[in-house]
Amino acid sequence: MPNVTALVPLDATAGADVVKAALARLFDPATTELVLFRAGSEPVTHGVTVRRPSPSGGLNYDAYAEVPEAVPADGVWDSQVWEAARTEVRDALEVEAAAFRRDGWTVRVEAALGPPAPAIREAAERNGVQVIAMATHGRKGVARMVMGSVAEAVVRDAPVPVLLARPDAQAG
Amino acid sequence: MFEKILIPTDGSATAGKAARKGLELAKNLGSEVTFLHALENPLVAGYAAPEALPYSAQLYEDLKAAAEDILDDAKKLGEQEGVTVHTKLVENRRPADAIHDLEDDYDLVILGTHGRRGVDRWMFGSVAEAAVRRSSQPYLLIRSDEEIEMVEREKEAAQGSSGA
Repeated sequence: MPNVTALVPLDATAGADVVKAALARLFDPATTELVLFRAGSEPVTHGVTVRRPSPSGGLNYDAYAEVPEAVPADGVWDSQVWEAARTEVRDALEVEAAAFRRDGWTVRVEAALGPPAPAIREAAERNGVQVIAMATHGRKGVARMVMGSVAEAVVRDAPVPVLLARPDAQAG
Repeated sequence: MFEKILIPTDGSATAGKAARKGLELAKNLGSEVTFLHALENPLVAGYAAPEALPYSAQLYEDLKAAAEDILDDAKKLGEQEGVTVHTKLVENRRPADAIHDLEDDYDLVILGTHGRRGVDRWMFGSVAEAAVRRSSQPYLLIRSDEEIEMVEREKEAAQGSSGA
């Protein structure tokens, strides 16, 4: 039974190593469970939803249930596209999870699709974590304005303490 | 393990929460804690009116006495928890700079953050943000309770209005 559950949001760039190092100094792998998390970009789908009569029928427009699937013009439903995108993110996370497991951590992976900061907050609440540990890029000026900062948005909204580590810290 | 932890404090409730959490952590990890308070020169920082100039020396002495009180309180808190506590008063330095100067001597920095947004954020800036941006050590950021409650209330209000 883990004492601590930590959410570890990873983006696709380097940063997992520095987060892993910081976690290793703060928590004992034997009593800590890590939830590796990434919010991938939403897949592009047809963007068309169809309406079909609900089983109850009737002429009332409200009786037509909205079907959250796009027209599968190419024979692929939107839900399949989303599931494939989610699987892709999950597979990428599993690769990174292997490195954590080698160091003795108990690891789960969780994937979402959409804007990262709200997704990270939701994942933190869903998993009831005690801490969020993530890398920050420390960008300044224009780069910061253009790229924004997920870490900053997470800190601003986080219900739990956030452990931040900078990947290029050794260089600077 | 983190052997030396730096906890900057300005005596606010936000910093107080970070101090308590930090001491708890230090106790569990067996780390030493150093509380840091940075004292800006009020004249340089620009928040003393020109009329106050003749009293600026007195003002600075008062601020310094207040700073020493803050550090004494933090030290007492640490001793209650049974943690080895040091204190450091840095004068004539902006807090973010003071933290940056010292962080290399520590393994972890624990900072309280108010997580203000919009105009408040623009006006008051954020020491945490400025410090983290240049950090070379891991930072543990702890948001104040008050702020968490405010965000929760905002969310409830938003849900209430959209649900109606």
